[in-house]
Amino acid sequence: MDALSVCMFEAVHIFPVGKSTLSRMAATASNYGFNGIVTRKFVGEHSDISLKKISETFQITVFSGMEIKSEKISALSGHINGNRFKTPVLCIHGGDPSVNLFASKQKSLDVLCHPMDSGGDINQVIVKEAMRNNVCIEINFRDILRGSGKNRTRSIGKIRKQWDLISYYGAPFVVSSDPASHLELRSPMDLISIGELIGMSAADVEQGLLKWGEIATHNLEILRNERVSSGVTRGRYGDEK
Amino acid sequence: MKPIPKHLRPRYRYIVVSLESWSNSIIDKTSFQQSIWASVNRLFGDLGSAKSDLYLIRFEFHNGTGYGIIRTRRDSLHLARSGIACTSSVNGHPIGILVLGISGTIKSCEQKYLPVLKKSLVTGEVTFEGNSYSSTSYGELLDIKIDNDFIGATNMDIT
Repeated sequence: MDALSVCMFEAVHIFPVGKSTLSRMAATASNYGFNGIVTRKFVGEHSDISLKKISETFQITVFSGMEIKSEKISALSGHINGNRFKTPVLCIHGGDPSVNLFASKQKSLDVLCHPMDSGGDINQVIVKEAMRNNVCIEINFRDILRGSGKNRTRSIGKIRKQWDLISYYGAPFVVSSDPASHLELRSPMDLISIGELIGMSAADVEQGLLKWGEIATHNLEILRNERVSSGVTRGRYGDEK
Repeated sequence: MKPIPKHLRPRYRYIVVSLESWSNSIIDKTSFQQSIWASVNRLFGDLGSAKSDLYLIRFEFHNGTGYGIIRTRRDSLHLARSGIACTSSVNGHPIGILVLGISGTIKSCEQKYLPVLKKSLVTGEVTFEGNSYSSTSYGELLDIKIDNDFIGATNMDIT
């Protein structure tokens, strides 16, 4: 296993969607015990923000992910094809059941984010499709951590249902607290304690946090043209003697 | 009244938390205590609140950072931990909470885990995204004030 893939990652919103810049998020996440962060907004190579400089300054791995949001499935399809080879972590903002089902069928997609947002729901069909196409379903702790009232009660119920389906079918999943500012970040240990409330074990939450890093590492190898096919990578064979 | 025998006294754990908020936030001990009580109450109800028995022993907060030592029952540590993590704001100020450590005595908490607080803030003008804004900085971290709202940044983001 790659050394990077055993690290805990968090997927974060950054300025202007969130209230903190990437470097501030990286500084706080590093302090909170995360080994890396994945941005939900794409930061291109020609951007003013230097991912490498931020990584070196705050001793944290930074990946530029992308979360696509659209209610039109035809538009989503175009976005997936257009952006697949730009970013190591490609996500779709779900919610609508038809978008959730569409996302679960996309082989070139990495993560279905917010599947329970705005009245959204998942069922065994979506979970099985996601498992078949290796699309991770996000378990989002945002509403448990920052919600209130009846919406929070409903959200906790939905997340429990989501976890029951995912754990029954063994579908791939990621865990996130969905922070939009550095003040909304919570440490991995805190997320484990929250996960235990909805029936997840500590190992499950840890696996969900590790998965972000695994996805990014795997896709980065493909983007750099290092991976030929499953189990076959370019490079020297064996150790040099 | 005679004291309870030692083996029947409740066992406690002390949780040291580091707090962070925007640099203009004013948070006092009472409001933080009420926020964590409310948070645990919303999550676990009256029974959970009584079980976890949270009590704020020490508290200090100034210049946007602080710390607190929270006492809880030893067998309800998991309730306390998730309840504290769910505290997202105090007095309307968003707050970042990090558990620095858990200990069996207040003395060992203070010796091992207490963070260093910011001594003083530097206020000034910075250029962010092509515009000039007022900001408060401490070290390499910056809080930039844009339209009565704050943006968290670092020295790397300003020109």
